[in-house]
Amino acid sequence: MYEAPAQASLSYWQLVRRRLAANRYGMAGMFGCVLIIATALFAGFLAPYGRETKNVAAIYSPPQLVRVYDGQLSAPFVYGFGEELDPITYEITFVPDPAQRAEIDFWVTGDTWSLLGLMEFSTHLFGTEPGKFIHILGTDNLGRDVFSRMLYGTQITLLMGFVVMAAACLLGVAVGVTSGYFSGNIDAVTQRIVEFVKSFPDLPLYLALVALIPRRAEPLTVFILFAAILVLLRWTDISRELRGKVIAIRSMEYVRAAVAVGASDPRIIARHIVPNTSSHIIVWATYQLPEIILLETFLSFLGLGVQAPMVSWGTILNQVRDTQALVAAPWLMAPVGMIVISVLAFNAFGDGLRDAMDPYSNE
Amino acid sequence: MNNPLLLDIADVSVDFRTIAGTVNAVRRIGFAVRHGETLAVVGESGSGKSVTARAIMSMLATNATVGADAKIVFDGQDISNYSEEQMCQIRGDRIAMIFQEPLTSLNPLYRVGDQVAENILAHRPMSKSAAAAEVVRLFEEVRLPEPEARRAQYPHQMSGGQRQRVMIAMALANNPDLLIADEPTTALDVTVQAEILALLKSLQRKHKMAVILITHDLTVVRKTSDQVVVMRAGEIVERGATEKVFKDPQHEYTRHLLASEPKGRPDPLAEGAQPLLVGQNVRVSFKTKHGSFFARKTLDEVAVNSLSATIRKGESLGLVGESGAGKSTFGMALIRLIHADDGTIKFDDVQIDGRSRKQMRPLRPRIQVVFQDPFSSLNPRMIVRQIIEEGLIVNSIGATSQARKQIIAEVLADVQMPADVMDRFPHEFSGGQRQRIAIARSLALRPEFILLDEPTSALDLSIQAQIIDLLRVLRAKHGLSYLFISHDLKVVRALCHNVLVMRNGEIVESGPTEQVLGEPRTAYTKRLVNAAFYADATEPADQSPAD
Amino acid sequence: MFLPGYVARRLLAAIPLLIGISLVSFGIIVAVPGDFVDGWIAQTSARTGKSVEELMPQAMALRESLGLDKPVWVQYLVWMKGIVTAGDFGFSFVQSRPVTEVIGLRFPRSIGLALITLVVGQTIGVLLGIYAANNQYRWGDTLATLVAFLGIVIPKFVIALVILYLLVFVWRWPYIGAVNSAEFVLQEEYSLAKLWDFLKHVWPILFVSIWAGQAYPTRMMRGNLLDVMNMQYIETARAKGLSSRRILFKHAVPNALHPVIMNIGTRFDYMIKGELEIAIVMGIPTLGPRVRHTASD
Repeated sequence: MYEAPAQASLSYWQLVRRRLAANRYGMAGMFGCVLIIATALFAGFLAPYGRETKNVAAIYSPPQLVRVYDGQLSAPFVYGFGEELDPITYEITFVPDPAQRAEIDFWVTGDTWSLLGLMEFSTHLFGTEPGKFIHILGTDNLGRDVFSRMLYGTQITLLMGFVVMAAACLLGVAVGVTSGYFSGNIDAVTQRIVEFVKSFPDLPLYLALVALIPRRAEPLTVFILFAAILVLLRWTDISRELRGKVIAIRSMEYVRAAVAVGASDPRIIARHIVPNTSSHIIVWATYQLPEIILLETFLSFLGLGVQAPMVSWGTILNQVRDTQALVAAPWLMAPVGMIVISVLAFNAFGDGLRDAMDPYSNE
Repeated sequence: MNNPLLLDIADVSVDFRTIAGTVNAVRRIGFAVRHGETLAVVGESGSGKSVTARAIMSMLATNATVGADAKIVFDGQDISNYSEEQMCQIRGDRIAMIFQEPLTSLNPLYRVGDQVAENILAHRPMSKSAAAAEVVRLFEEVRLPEPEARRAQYPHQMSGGQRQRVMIAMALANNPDLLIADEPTTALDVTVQAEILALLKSLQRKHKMAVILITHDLTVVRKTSDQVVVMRAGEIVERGATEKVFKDPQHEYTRHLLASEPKGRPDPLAEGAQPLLVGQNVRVSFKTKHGSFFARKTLDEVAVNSLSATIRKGESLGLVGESGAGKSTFGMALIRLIHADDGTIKFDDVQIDGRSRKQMRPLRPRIQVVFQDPFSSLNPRMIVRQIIEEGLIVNSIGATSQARKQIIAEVLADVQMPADVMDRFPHEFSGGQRQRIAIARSLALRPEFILLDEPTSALDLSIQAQIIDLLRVLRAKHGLSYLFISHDLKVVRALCHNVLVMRNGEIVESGPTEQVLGEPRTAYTKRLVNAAFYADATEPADQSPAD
Repeated sequence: MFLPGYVARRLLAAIPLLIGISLVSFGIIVAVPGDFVDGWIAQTSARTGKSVEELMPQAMALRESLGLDKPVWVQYLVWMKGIVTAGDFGFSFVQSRPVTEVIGLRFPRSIGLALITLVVGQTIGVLLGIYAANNQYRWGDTLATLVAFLGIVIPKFVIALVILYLLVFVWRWPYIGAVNSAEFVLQEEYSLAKLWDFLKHVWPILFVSIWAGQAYPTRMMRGNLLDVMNMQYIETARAKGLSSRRILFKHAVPNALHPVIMNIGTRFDYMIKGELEIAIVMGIPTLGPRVRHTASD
């Protein structure tokens, strides 16, 4: 007779967690994802200024170096810039001016910000005494702090990512599961639709559809329409993959056994089909997020996506669309760093999840 | 036999490095094979048989290491420290090997003739055309019909038996001194199995080869080997002349193995038992699409051609036949899990054909099924309790969770599993234990009839016997009726009162088990019986390469 | 086996798809608020100071001549007829040139660049994949896997931006925003110098696309090859006494290559998309910037 082992049985998800914890790259990716999401949540706290706060005294001012040494070690501080006009080329150069020294203070009070629109705060991680400014990543053409705007941009970019991912996921899963489980005519029709949507060359189609969004609409409306377009063209992959998976699971003996005990279709879908595809869906969603982030950033970079006054990484990059602007203020490319970090993090996390989700594979 | 020694291995250990640590797959084993002799290596899955064979060939996976003091003496030379280059000269030339899966052991991209010729050309200087002629000769020798035409075929155009013949031809190509056959017939149907064994035997005699036959099938061992080695968990527990070991097994495990051949007979069936499940003229066909986009034709492939069967209360009816005969389709159609095009089916005098899935639901608890593959029949995301409970919830059996738990504990006891497995996930159990859980799932609904679809064919021999015993006990205890689908006549004889023999969608013979298996009337049944009980091809294989 | 028949069937099956695509494309054109004539009115009234009412008769005439007064479905049929019978995709009003002419020069450039990157990328990827699979878990494998990972995940437009930055600030590279330098533009005949000049302009496209393009085949080839090496027929080949080189290249690689080749159509899609993306960022006059401008006009 069988004797149960002494220690408690691990559920599927417990096994996944253990395997993920053992994967260094996956854990690094997860850490990065958490960091990025936290940045979005607490952008207001981490940023010294609001997204529209202007420093009219510093248009296109370059990044300031954080210094801790002025002949002797001191608390961190920055120098403001003095402008110098080159007498020959008439080029304006910014030169750090020790006279305009600003000490960096922590837990300073400044512009109010809200956490998820619920609570209002006015404390910031760092800042300077009133009347002085700190721009560690410089400013743009209106004198707005690039660092602050980049952090606020995380919010819109991630929001777009999650909204599109969730909606595409819901749509794709619903269509894929129905199509795979019931087969027959429903399947034939949905498969033709999926093929149809997939057959368009996607970049030109995005551009064409985005062009339909009325330019003068409310930014929020543009945001929603933009998201809708992304969803419309994103749900097909998961629906097709899931369909294949569901067809495979449908013929598994445990599903046939459920039919044999008299279980109904909704019950079989809810208890047998969906739980056994959930790992697949989660992995897909994780990979989807960086793709949506990139798409949003690229289209906003072209000026076709998110509209001002909303700030996303792409809209900041949009300010250096032409070479002249790039020459004038290369520091506006700072969001590239955020994009690379987030894309690497979400993909590494996705890889880790994918490997961990198959815990019964060869050890 | 006192032929000189061909292969003598001693102190062979094999360790595998895995994430979980080092696994000792084989521990200090040794045996010897003489010229022209057949040595059978017997054991259940995981006993280290195949690993031993690959260690001899120096063909282990990269994460495996052979113990440093291992000695593998082949024809007077210790080959255990040979370089890969030296081994390449021995492999395929002096030692050849064939494998279990004829479906995957040939490269799908190349013609079978070229694959055999490759082996010849790798070891003998010869022109391509001479090698081609040699291939034809070999194909004749392994009795492939139309050897000339076969040469140009791809593996997927051949049946399993034919592919195994190609593999044997490849192995024979350079007249090896030793042939290692790793479960060469396990994946084949019984009658083909017998033919391949007969072929191997005759070729061995002709070429005076030594053969190491790795198998789990004791009938095959008894029939074909001179010496036998019994392995268990990486160790040899018994060795000796086959006759002697079978007559007088010394080790407890060998005795256990020998005893695990299904034995006994079903309890007699009560006189005048009433029919429970009756199918008349049941026909099942599958539509397949053929032809081009414009001239699309739908072909009806008849899987079950108007067959009838009656299972009486308390009866076990066996349904036997080779793969593709339509056994499972017929069984599933009878319990309305597959749609039948035609025919009437009655359960307990109630007509059930034509009922929708919803209308079938009230009857479902009374008609249950146990599937073949214990690894896919349990949902990996549910614990055992949820797996068994599902049927109870769906059919409103047991008012409270506590009452249901009580029922589950009872059925687990019925299948001889402790109640504390309830909170565990299926992946923690072995095949036999999973099959018990699957039986418990059916049993929980208090069914009157259970369709058993090859419930033991994926299990090791000794586990198989335990499940058969269990099924017998349960039938007596709960007054169950079985329709038992199997390709294994031994199991059927041990469990079933009556038997139907199916071939190509038709029933070729039926009647009481003892009568059908004792005095088979049709040639087909005769072949099945001979193959199963005597590992014999009834007709000499050279006259009927059946596939 | 029946390849021509298969291809013919696929092509025929594509007809309804093409009709659907044309319908949607046309739908998008029509759905853009305001047609060309509205734009003309706005522009002309701004330039000439005439009121909208004054311009109306002329506008009506223009509409009629362009067929824009007809019902939408007639417009669609006329447009389709042009495409099918004359390969005429309509008229670019903004550029006052036929669409085919507008994209005429750029189209072959885009397709050509995508093809080059496809072929080179796939070849590099397959070779790297074979190398990685054969050195599993050694540092060469780790490096190849890392390069492939970066190639898959790093956004092409971001790399393109970074390269653009480097070209402008660090290297002061003069070959930006064109496919050929001025002295070669009018030169009709092809020469090595012109090709070299061309490469100096488009190398960022080739570099980024090939890097991104090799990543997927590297991964796929590595995985496939590791799977194939576990197949029974590889063991059969070893049992024949073949050398490990021969086993790899004759028995394993062809089997592992098969799915990679089957996937090449999808990869071509991907390369085109990448080419467009990079060209848009770098302002290299292939189809990319044109597509982008059309969207915002």
